[in-house]
Amino acid sequence: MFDPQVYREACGKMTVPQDKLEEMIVMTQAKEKKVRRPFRAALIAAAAVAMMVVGVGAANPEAVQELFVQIATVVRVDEYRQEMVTSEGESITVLSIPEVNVENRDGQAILIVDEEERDITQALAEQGTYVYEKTTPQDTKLCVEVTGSAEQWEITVSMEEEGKQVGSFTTSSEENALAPGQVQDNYSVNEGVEISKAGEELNKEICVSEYDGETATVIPVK
Amino acid sequence: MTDETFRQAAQAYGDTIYRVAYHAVKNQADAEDIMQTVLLRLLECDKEFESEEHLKHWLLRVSVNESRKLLRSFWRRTSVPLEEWHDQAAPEDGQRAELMRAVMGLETKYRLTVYLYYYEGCSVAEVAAALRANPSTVQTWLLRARARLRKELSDDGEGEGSHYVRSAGLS
Repeated sequence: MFDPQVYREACGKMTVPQDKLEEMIVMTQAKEKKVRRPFRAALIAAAAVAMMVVGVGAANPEAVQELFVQIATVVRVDEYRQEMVTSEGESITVLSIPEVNVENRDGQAILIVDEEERDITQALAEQGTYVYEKTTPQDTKLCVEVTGSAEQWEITVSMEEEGKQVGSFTTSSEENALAPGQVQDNYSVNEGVEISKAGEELNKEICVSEYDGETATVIPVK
Repeated sequence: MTDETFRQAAQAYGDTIYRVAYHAVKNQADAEDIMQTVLLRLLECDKEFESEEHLKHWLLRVSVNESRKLLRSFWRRTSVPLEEWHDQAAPEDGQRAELMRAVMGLETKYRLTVYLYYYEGCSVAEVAAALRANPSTVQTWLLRARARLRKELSDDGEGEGSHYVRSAGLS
């Protein structure tokens, strides 16, 4: 029998020790003073890495190697693009894609791109699709295509750099669940490497999926 | 946010953030990492919270989002998860331990829904907002989660109160 009271009692015992919490508070305050994260929502990114090879057994996830590269400098080119240089001298172009979602508000389909809202109900009803595009002066283009309805939708987000698509993913209303891999299942790439320290042979284009200020997680481009 | 305000919020909601993350990732180390990230986001954010409730729901949502990020990461998806919930979370009491084992055996979306609904006391609409799901979907998740828990815990039923969903938040 599922007894909510027993469950609440059990959850109540799940606590963080006071000394650990205190340590986290101090560390967070120290970190905030030192580092401003360059990304707000780096979901996927495309990267061209000169002289880097992902030395991974391509179809063998177990063989994925961990490499680590220290990021030396980060220069923001535009709102979607940043240029990074590692301590080893490799240059990486990173494209960050904003958070996108469609909310069903009393039957109205509201597309949210980076907290900017627009009602796309009519477009979906009449054409079955809605396309949001934005191009920066530096020629980085974000494209968000929504199909379906307020209840059941699918969003394809893609980025183009100088006319060439460099990354895309698709998510849908069915994927609000939190199971791993749901959004990333249909990336155009499916192998990954975590970079943090040079030393392995790399010479292939990669996608950067995450960057926390010190290390980047990358995926090789097929 | 001032250091003092941040400290108060961290003290007040640290366990909440940790529990949300733990229900998502079932791993103490990852849950602590998520907690640290959420605290950093809280400290960095310029948002003016209208009330304690507003702050709490913002933290719930951010905790879910950060947990999601971790669950989606390539490394996490291609690694065998080290599920250690029993190392810390399993209460000594047999009934509680069995119940937590059953809850932790559910899918992530069900675990989080159960946690937010039953422990945090969120309405269906609030759970939906935190998980970025439709309220009707959350209702379905709750029903399924309870059905699975009922089956897992091998009992005769949960009683009348368990067969409906608190829907005050929907109106």
